Amino acid sequence: MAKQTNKPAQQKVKHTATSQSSPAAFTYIFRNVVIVVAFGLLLLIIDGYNRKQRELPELTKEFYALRESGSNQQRLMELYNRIVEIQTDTSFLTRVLRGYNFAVHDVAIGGKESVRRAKEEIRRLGLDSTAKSLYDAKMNMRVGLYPFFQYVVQNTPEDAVIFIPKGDSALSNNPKYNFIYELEWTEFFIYPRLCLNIGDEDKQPELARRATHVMIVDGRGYEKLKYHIPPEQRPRDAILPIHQPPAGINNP
Amino acid sequence: MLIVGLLLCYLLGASLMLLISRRYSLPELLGYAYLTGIATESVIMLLFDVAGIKITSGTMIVANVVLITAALAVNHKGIREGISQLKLPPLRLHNVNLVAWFFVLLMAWLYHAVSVKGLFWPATDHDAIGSFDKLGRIIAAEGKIKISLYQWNLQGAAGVYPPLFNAALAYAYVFGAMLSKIIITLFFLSFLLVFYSLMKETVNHTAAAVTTFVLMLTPEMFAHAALGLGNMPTAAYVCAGALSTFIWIDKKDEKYFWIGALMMAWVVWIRSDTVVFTAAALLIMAMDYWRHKNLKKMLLYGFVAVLPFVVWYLYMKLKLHTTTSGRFDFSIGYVAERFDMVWGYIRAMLFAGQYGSIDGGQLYGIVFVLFFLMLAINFLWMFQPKLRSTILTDRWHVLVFFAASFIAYTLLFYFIDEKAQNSPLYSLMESSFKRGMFCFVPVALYYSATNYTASRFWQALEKFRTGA
Repeated sequence: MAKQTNKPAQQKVKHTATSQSSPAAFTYIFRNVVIVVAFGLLLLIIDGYNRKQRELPELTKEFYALRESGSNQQRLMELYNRIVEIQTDTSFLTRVLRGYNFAVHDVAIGGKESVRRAKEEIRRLGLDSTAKSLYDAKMNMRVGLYPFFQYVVQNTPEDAVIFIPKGDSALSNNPKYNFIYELEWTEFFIYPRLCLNIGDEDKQPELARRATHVMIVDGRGYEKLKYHIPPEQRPRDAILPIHQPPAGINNP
Repeated sequence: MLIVGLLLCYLLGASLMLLISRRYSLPELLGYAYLTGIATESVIMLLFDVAGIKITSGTMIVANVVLITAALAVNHKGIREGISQLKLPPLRLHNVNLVAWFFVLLMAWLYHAVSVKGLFWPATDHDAIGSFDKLGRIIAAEGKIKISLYQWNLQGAAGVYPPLFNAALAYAYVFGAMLSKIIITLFFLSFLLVFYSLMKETVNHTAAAVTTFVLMLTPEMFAHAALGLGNMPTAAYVCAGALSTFIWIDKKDEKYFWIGALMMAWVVWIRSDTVVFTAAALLIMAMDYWRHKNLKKMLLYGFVAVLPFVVWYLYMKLKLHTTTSGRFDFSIGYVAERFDMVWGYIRAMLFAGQYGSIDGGQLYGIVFVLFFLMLAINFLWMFQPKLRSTILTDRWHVLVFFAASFIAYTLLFYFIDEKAQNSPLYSLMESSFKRGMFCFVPVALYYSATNYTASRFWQALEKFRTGA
C-alpha cells in the first residue's frame, strides 16, 4: 500500500527535475557560485588577516642579522617595533584566527615544502638506494642523536645490557642529548639491547647484574667502569664495555 | 604486502559493518570499515597473544580470510540485496552542490598536503618513540602483545593503554612497512568521512561540508594528522560513537544504535581514560530510557560499550600484572591552588585564552568559542515564549554528553597522582589534557552546526542556493 502511494509522488519529482529549463539551471549555478565566492572571500580575508603572522620569522631573522652586524640602526628599530607590534597583538580575533595560519601555512604548505627539500637532499647524497638507508637518512634529519645510537648498536651485541646516566638539569637542558636519559625513549633505538639508569641498580637488580656496557653521555658514566681510563683519553660520548677496556676506544 | 594487509583490514571492517546495516553511502562505509577493521585486527592480535599464537603476516591473513568469509557467508543474502539496490545518484545539474564540492576540494588539497608530510617522516615525537611506535615495532618483531620489555618496565606509558592503537601500528609493521604513519593517515581520512556522513544525517550537504572543513582545520588536531600519536585516532572513535548515539536518540534508527554502541566500545579499546565518554553516552542513554522506557536497548548498549574496558582490565591484571587505578589519588579533596590551575587551563582552552604555555585560540581555533556563542544565542531565543520549549529540548543529549564527559575528564586530571605519573600537573594539563580535548571538538562542532539557530541559518542558505 505504501509503495502504491509513493509511486506517483516519485514520478512527479522526476518529471519536474527533467523539465528544468536552461535559465533555471543558470540561476542555480549562479546562486551556488555566489555562495562559493562568499565563502572563498571569507577564507581569503582570514588568510590576509593572518599575513602579519607570516612576516614574523622573516622579520626576526633580519633583526638578528642586523643586530649581529651592528649596521643600520634605524632599520633595526623599525624591525624591533614591528616585531613587538605583532607579538603583542593579543586581540580576540588574532588569538582565534592565528591557529589557522599555522595549520595551512606551517603544517600543510610548510610541511610539503620541507618534504620536497629533504627529498632533494637525500637524492643528492644518494641515500635513497635502499629502504633502510632512506629510513636512516630521514631519522638522521629528525633525531640529532640517531648517528650516536647507530654507533651504539654497531658496537654492542644484541643481548647487551647498557647503563645510562640519569638526567640531571644540565643534561636535560642540552638539546644535543634529546631524551637519552629516559630509558623508555632510548630503548626505541637500541632494542633488543636493554638499558637501566646508573643509580637504579636496586630497582632493577637482575638487569644490573647482567649489565655489559656503559653509555658515556656528556662525560658522565665513567664511574661504572671496572677499569681506569686516563682523563685525557676519555671521549665525551661513547659506549664502553664495563669489565674490560676496549682494544681501542671507539669514538662516535 | 602492506597493501594486502590494508585491503584485508578494509574488507574485514566492511563485512562487519554490513552485518549492522546495508544502508551506507560509499564514504560512510569506507570510514567505518577502517575504524572497525583496524580495531578488530587489534582484537585478533590480543586473542593470538592469549592463545600463544605468534602474530605474523601469515597468521593475520588466515584470521582475516576466515572472519571475512564467515561474515559474508552469514550475510550473503543481505549483501546481494544491498548490491542490487546500489544506485549511483543521477547526474543532473540540480544534484551538484557546488558549495559542498568547493569545500571537498579544499579538504582534498589539505589532506594531500598533510599526508605527504605524515607519510614521509618517521614518527619522532617523544611519546611515539618512547611508547606508541616502539610498542608497535616490537609487537610486530616479537609477535605478541605482551612484549619482553614489560619484564623490565621499559614499555613506556602507553603500555597500560588498551591495545587498539599500538596494535594498529604493529599491524603496519607486521605487513612489512618501514613506517607506521599510513595507519595515522587513514585514521584521519576515516575521521573526516565519518564526521561528514554523520553530519549529513542531521543537516544538509552544504552544512556538513563546511563543518567538516572546520573540524579538519582545527589547528592542533590538523598538525596531529602528520604525527605518530594516538589522540586524533581516539577523537575519531569518540566522534563516531557519540554522534551515532545522538542520531539514534533523535531518529531511533537501529543502524545508529549498533554503530554507536560498537564505536563507543572501540573508544575504551583505544584508551582507558576515555571511559568518561562511554559513561556520558550511558548517561544520555539512561535519560532516553527514562523518556521511552526501552530498557533492553539501554542494557545492550551498556554491555557492548563497556565490555572492552572489562576485557582490558582483566588482561592487565591477569597477564600484565598491573592496573591504572594507582595513578589517581581521590583523597586530594579540594585544593584551591590545584583547582585554580586546572580552571585556568580550561578557561584558556575553551575561550581562546592564554594560561601557562597554552594558547587556546592557537590550539582549537574557533571551535569552542563557536560552541559557546551558539549556546548563548540559543539561550536568547528562550525569551520568546513560543520557542522556549523547543530551545529547552534542542540537542539536550549533545549538551548533557558534552558537560558530563568534560566534567568527568577534568576530574580525572584533577585527581591524578603526580608522583605515580612521574609528571607535574601543569605538564599533564599542557600535554595530555590539551590533546585529549580533541575528543570534544567533533561534539562541539556537531552542536554548533545542528542547534536551532544554526539549523535556521543552514536552511536559509540552502533555500538561497537551490532557489527552492
